Amino acid sequence: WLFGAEIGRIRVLPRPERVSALTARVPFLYRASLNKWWFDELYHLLFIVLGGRVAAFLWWFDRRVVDGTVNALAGVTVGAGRGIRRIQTGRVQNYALGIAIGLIVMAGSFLYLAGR
Amino acid sequence: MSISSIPILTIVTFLPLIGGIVVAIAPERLARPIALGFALVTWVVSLLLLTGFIAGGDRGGLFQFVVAAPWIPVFGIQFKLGIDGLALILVILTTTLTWISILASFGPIKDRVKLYMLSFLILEVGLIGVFVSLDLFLFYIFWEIVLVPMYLIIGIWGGSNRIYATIKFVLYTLVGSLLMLVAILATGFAYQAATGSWANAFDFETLRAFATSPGGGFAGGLQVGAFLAFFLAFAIKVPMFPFHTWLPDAHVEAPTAGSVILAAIMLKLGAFGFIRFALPLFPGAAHTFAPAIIVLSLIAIIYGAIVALVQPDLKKLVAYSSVSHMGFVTLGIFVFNEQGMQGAILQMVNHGLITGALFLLVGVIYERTHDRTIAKMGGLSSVMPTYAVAFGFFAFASAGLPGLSGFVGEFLSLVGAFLFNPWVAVIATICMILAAAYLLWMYQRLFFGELSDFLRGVGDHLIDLTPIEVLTLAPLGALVVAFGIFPGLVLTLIDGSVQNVLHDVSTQAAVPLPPEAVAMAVIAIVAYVIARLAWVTYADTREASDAGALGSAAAGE
Repeated sequence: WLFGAEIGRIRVLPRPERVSALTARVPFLYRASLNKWWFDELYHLLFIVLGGRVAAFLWWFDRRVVDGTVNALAGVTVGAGRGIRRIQTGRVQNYALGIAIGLIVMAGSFLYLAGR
Repeated sequence: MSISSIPILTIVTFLPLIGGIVVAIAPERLARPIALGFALVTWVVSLLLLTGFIAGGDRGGLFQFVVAAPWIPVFGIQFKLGIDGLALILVILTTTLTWISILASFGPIKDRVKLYMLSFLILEVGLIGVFVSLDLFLFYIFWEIVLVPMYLIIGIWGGSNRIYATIKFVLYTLVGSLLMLVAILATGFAYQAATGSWANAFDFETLRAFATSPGGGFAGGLQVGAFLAFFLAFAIKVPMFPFHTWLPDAHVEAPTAGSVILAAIMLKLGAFGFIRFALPLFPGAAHTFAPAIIVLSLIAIIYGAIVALVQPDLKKLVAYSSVSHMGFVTLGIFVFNEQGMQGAILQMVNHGLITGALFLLVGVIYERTHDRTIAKMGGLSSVMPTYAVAFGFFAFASAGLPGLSGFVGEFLSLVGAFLFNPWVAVIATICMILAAAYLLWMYQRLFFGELSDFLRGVGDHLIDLTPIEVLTLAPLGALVVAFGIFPGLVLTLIDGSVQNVLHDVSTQAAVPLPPEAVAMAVIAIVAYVIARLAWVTYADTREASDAGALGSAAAGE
């Protein structure tokens, strides 16, 4: 770029009106070099904004899906316990009914299997 | 073997227990010095082990300082202890970090000190016992001994959400361990069925010889099942993705010294279990599952690092960085080559030293301010310069700065990974960039810039490192530098173990899995994840609209 700087010094510096002539010929390249090829903006977009969203998503994923599975398992255990707990009514009549049903099931399956 | 007549391993394993009994009997004000004293003596005894150890004497699968006594002869269960290079280095790491942690607990732990010291000493018994057991049943017992003291330490002296964290930790690791118990019993029974006798049915050396015998070994089905069970127990402990979610909660809620021991030693129990038991006993299954485990390790490395980037809590950040670093360990183990295995073991030691020190450092600021939110901090280097230097040193060590030991471990693991598959190494190396990112950003937010308003409010509590704190950090720093410049110190010690494991693993080829089973498992997992994602987003949106309708605060899950 030293070469380019030399050319610029000799040809362009004495005559400012040449600048607009030159830049008019390659508008895009001129703007790109002026903005450093938008490198800083690209970096910011790619790593800070996009990367930040990826990281935040992964953390959300870790908390809700992965850890959520663990807590869901715990919840299922507790819920199942609550459900089964309702068998214990404390009333003797219900327990007697339970014994009767159990007896019927056991006797029935015994007779069924013995008959085969 | 020189001092072979003295059962040194029994001493080093149970001396902390005797210390615990003495602590329990003695008055409360003596608890701290007694505990520290016993921890230091145990440390010295473990260093004696180092002097008596013959490096390279463990080639061919031999163990040193073996102590054996029959225990339950009916089933061939013995009380058998022995070490090789790997076990030795981990035992020394354990004893070193235990006295450092006990010393670090002097300030923060103020009530029920006796119970705390007792728990810590029994924890040490369990940790050392795991590393030195040569009998599968004994190994399991020591493995479980570790749980109860940790439960107490987190549950009593922990943070605000400690009950949830400690019960989650206990149940999670217990599930894995119980499955491992089933696998251990199955292995013993299988051995007995194959050889017709119960003698030595649970002895590791006998089982290993059986498992790696040419043309012999356990049946494919048993290998797959038992390896999966062992894998679950060890993967939860390491922790590997996706079994890692107990770690952030446990670390954040544990007291400082509890976090140090948890990160530095307990995570190594899992990796040690892989190298010592899962690989030699089930080499075929190890080959079968190695690719999947490598993928999980890569996920852990990158996932842990990315999530660490967005953590608001300092301790959680270090916790997720632990997940990432342990990913390097499991990656190094399962590529099954020399560099990878050496890198993995060295990384185990490094992570113990570096992350142990990082948790101690986080504890320093927590003691001063009772807050770990990074956003509230800033400009600490102006008030606590020594602390800034220490933190910077260990942060760079964690990032893998060459010259410090973290670099050697990560580099060896990466070389091993590259030899296995270059793309694996590429993906893993990306993590090193992420590690630098989150560590440097954390360091900048904590130490540079203006002193934050919150810190200004804390005022004179912000004293620089006390001599005790320096004493706890200095040995770790010295070892990090020493192993960084002379990694050979560790590598020559573990060389025998590395050769043994690699030889054992190479004795069998992968056990073929029925493709339908694999396909079904993969589909089930993917389907579950999608279903869970859908359920969670549905529940979130419904909750949001409910909250909008009622105008009340949303109840979190």
